[in-house]
Amino acid sequence: RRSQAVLSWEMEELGYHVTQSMISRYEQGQLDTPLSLERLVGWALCCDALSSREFRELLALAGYYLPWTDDDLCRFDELLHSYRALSKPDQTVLRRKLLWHVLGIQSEEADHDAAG
Amino acid sequence: MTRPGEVLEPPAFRSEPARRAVAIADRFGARRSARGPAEFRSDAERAWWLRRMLEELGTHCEDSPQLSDLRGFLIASPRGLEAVVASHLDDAERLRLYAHFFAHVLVGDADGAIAVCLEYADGRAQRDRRSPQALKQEGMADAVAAAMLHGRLERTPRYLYYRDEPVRTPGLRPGLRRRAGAVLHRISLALFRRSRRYQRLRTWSVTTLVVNRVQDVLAA
Repeated sequence: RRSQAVLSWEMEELGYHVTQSMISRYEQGQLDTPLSLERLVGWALCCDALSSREFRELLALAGYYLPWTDDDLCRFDELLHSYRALSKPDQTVLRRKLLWHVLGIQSEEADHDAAG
Repeated sequence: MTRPGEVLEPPAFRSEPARRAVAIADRFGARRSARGPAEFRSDAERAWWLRRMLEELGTHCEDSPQLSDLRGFLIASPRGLEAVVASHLDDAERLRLYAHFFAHVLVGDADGAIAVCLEYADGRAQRDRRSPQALKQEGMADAVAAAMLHGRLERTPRYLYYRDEPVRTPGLRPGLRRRAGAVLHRISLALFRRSRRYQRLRTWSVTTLVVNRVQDVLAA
């Protein structure tokens, strides 16, 4: 389980502005503003929880869909977990790239989104 | 040497990466030929050209200034291939890394499955948690990359690159020889995938001589 501070930092590194207090309020159900698909996936990515039941339920609740099988999502989680021994900057670079693969965005589109 | 009635066809490439691997090895090996001056003047040119080959195969390549434990990594998924290389690498390191990534693409480590190939910086390998199976794949990619860079694909199994087509030759004996050759090639490829010792053995000149001789006998 990631601490809220670490999770907030990792989300910022992915390019999403999600503060520690926002995370706290989301976890307590105090925030109504729905998370975008990208932020949901980013959150699950930071927690190595893409294959978790909770993530699947959240996606269904929000009406989102990821075209991956359960085995694929398990594989992503295994990869993310196994690379936790890397330095933080290396994990961030790897996680950013994996995020675009999970979301199904081509690299050129991702670079454009990041720049825009 | 062909016999009367025998039609020899050029071997078909197994895949587009295989065709390009042979082209890479031919080009990098040209510096040892007496035909003319070397085509590349520096490792920077070779690295650039190899990166272009990867990009033409659909791999998105980019540099990252943030990598420290890693020299680079290759991500493969049904969404595509992506190679990230540390910006601080020199041209020789960059060339070896692109060759290594190309080898992974060639041997099928990146065939639609979700995979990440990491290349650790010197002294950072203690962070390496890869399984024995993954380490074997790395060993194979290393061997193939080295063969490509030196223009010595004969140090690797033929069936990595070619798919033998049947030769239209009358007679039972040529067919049997060809089948025996195919079996030996498959055994060689299977050993190469699994055994570091066999990979090292294939780098010896005497092994190359023996392999070529056996191939000539079976193709005669």
